[in-house]
Amino acid sequence: MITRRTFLHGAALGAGGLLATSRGLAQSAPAAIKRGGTLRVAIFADPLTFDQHITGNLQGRTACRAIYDTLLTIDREGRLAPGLVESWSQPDDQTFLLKLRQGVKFHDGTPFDAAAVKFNIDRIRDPKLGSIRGGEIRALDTVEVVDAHTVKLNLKSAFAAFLFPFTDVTGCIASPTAMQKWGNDYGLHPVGAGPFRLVQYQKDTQTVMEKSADYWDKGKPYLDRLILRPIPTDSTRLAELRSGGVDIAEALPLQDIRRLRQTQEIIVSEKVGFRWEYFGFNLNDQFPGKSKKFRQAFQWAIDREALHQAAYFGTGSIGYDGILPGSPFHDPNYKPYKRDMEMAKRLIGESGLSTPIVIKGPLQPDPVKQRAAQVFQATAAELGVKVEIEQVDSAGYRDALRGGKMPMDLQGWWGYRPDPDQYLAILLHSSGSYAQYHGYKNPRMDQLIDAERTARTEAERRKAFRELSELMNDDAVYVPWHYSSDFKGLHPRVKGFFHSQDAIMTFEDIHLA
Amino acid sequence: MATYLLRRLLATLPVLLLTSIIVFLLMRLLPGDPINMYIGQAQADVSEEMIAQLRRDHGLDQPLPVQYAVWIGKVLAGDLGRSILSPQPVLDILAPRILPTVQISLIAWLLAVAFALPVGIMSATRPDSWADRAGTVGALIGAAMPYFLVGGLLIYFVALEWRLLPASGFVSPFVDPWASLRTSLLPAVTLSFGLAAVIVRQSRSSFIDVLQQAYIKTARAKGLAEDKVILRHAFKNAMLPVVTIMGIQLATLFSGSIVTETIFAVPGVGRLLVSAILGRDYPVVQAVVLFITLVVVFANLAVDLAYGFLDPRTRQG
Repeated sequence: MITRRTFLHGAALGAGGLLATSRGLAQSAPAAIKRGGTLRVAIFADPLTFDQHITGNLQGRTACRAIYDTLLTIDREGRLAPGLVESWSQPDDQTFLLKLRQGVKFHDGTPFDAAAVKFNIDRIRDPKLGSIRGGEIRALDTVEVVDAHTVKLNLKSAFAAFLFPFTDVTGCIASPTAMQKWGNDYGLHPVGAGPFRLVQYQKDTQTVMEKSADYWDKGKPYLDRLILRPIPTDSTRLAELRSGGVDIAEALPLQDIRRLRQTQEIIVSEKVGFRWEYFGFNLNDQFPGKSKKFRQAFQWAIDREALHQAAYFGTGSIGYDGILPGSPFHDPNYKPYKRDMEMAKRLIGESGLSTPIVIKGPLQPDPVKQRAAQVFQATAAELGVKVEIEQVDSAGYRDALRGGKMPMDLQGWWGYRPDPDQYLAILLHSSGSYAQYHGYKNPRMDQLIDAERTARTEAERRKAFRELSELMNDDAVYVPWHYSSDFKGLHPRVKGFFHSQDAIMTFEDIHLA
Repeated sequence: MATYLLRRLLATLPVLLLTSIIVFLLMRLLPGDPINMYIGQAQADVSEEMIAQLRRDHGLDQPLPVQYAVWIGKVLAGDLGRSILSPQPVLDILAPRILPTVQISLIAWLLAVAFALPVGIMSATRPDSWADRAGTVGALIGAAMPYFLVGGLLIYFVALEWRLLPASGFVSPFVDPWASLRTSLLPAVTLSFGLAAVIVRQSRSSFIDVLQQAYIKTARAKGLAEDKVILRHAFKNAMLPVVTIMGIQLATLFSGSIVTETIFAVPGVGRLLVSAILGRDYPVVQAVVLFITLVVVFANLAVDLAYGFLDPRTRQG
């Protein structure tokens, strides 16, 4: 019988053996690689800070991932792979032993070692810093330095997905010397052990990085310089890419994808499953979402194909749960609903709500979401439900969400996380913030989340996630309908690009033809 | 003159104070706050204790009058505070934004004046001619075209199709003057459209008005050449309302820069204001609005002083 320990240990050794020198993420490069050159990347927003524990937006995380290496990475099957941690083991359910890569130095020449890892993790949990990453490692009790290259993480309780946050900025390790030296200004003077080092930052203009000459993965990065240019307007970002002003542009406008794919001038890269779209309901008494049958009606009523075509121009894929493509737990054959308006109307009739049923949905000025909301509005009208869309900006939306004042959520969940627990627990567990915003609490759901957290094998977790999806769909607090894609445009001379599931670009394997 | 200047300068103080209160309150009236925006990016649960602490750290847990008093006290001491969303003092963020906005606005203003004044004068001297009608139609089109449309068309044709100028960004003139001019031209032309339209219309009507006055008839009766009549006699008087409009248009230039700087990814004051408002970065919004108020107030002062040059009757003792 495979125990949790042997499974995880085996996975660690297997992954470690295969990927110890390649960091697991990179596309295999062709034999002749041209070294040098400058890669110019058009990003959507400014990185704002290079403090890995403070950064929030995707662009800040992208910049940090170039400056810092993460403790762990994700392989192409969506599983944990080595990074600065060469291998790991789990002596018991509540302990992880991390064996660190040796001979790694930070850009300031100080050594990367177990003390540095402990310093970084403790810093996240230091309330004085005000890091938003603490919630990701709430299960952590203590960090111990076993020896110079071994770190022991003691958990408060068993947690199968615990290591996943260390594949992103939570796992970015910075030089303790630099963090102590710069204090509050550290965000502008980052020192990591990653493939690039920051040489110039001009807010809203450009972030310039140069390759780190003593990067531990010898021979990488291939590029000499990396320039990130924030260009907030979609059409301008695209024009810069097409006119050769930049080599890569992120967040290509959806309406242009079909046309761009037909041209030879740029390469369109799509990664399905960057975002998860659902229509969410507030279950509190003052809102129509309090009726389970009312919520369930939309599982049968919404026209997922129409939403897929109208809102997303046929990009991405239709989805029926929150296990996104890219996750080893994703099942493309899970399709529990077929549109059935008769069933939906019957459920509305049995909902016990007094007519006319009116529900409000705050919506940000995002053309994709607006199209989706209009399709939803038309569907609801067929059921005799009036949906009133209220335009708000991002801050207004978050305010309504956090205050539990939102009758329904038309925005969905943004941003892929490598383990479904990282967002499903927030959305569905009674202690999760989104579950609380929506007034959702189901003891059985809590049990299922606890079950996937304490499961000993991947198969056990898969089973728990399936049951969780089924219960989520039956409770219909979120009515899932789509996995949307991240699009990046590349100039044909860009080689070695790997489109990661979380949409964060990594640059150490990129080279220019 | 010195007393007048002093009086005008003192009069700006209540304007600035009132603006500071209005912008402070308006930002707090908007739903959402910077801490919500910050934690919203986490994609993870942030504890209530952490949220409370972040609010405390930025003084957002204090009553509004206290928050205002603390902020304005610091501003008076020359400290604009620290941005909530990026780890920089507001002054360090605002200062480098001024040059791109001023440079592009100035080029836009020069382009507009260089184009609009001759067209306006020509229209006025030949009313109802084809040139006048073309000028009027052109001005109406210019006034009706929104910045995002002009900007989008310029990017498409000039940057993408003809590859004549870069589509976005800004290079400092101290780094590379030629590149600086190239990056400034498209946003400046975009901004100049609406401005030129207003100047064409204003100068046309103003010149028509002045050219019908008795002293112009006298000048013509004396046998003066038409160009001398216009340049030596009509110009100064006709320019009075035009200068007023150009002063008022400075505020329009700032509001236009909000759109054009976003379209062309110019790191100017306008774009900073947009991102700060969307992120509810209170200290940055407040500082930028105060700065813009200061510029507009001083521009209007400059316009008033220009009156004195154009019309001796308005000169102050």
